[in-house]
Amino acid sequence: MPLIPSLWESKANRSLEFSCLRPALGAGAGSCVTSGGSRDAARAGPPKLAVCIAVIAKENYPFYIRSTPTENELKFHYMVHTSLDVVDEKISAMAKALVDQRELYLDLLYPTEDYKVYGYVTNSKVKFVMVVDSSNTALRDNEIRSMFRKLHNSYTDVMCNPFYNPGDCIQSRAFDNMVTSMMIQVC
Amino acid sequence: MADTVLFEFLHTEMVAELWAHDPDPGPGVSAGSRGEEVGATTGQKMSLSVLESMGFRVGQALGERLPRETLAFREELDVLKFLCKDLWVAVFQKQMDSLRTNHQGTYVLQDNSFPLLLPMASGLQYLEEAPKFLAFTCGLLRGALCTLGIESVVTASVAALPVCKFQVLIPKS
Repeated sequence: MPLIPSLWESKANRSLEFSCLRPALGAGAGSCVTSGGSRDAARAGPPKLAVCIAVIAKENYPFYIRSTPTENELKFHYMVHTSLDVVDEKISAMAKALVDQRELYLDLLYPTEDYKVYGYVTNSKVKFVMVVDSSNTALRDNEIRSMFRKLHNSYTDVMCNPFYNPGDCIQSRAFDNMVTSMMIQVC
Repeated sequence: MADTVLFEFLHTEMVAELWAHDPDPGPGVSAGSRGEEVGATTGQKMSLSVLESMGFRVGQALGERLPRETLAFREELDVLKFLCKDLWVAVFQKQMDSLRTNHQGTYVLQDNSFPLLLPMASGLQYLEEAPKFLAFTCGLLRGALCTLGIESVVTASVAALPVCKFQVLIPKS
């Protein structure tokens, strides 16, 4: 799919309103990387990526939420918010279960007609929620697991960053770039 | 092989650097029966809390990174066991020697040969100096517990070097 650089920049700028505060310098770099990432994805084949990714703290406020800027982003925010109830349900169900082992990956939380929502909780009760397009049937379970693993690794790196105070919004560009590489590219 | 001593040297320098030698009391400090002593202890308390808060931040990061491959913890005791085994091995290359609990939220972790105290003495010499070498580790435990969702108060005590006990108090909510 041909890329329109000016269209990409405007999309990247729009996403700024909904994501956490970013310095102006970062915005310029971010939009460049976005187009670069999408070029790689286009070469690799049909995009098998997420539509919205959110990182929720254990007090249930979002550290980081990012969605493709094409549609009403409020809808995605609302979806993530409602999925938190399902996450809590699954966690308490697992706690009551007599099974010895507890998984970190929560699998499909709930499907809607357009989207599927997946969840993952870390040992520190930080939740990752990923919204995927339902029409993306090629997306397999282990691909979702590997995406969550990448998210977890990047989140751990953010935590270990001395410039990051635990509890703040995530402003790390490295984390942004990693999330961008996982988001669906819409042209 | 030299990795373990790197942290020990760094820790020793940290304590030496941050330890307050200034006996002057800060403003608003009420004088005790012996003024200089009060000043010294206030300054020392600040240093202890600075060391402890350093340990806290490190513990928070470790608490995020270490349990990555382990499965979710079921209960408090699992978290404490994780601290005694995985965290202690990662930082000090040995496991905690004993973990005791009264099941009411108090846990006593005992290390019979604490690596940060081992090179100092083996016995009662330097007993008064030992607590400041434990402040960072107390913070480390508190930080790791905090990331794993447990608010706690961690104190340490030394009866004879190098045996030391860390007491973790988890208030019941």
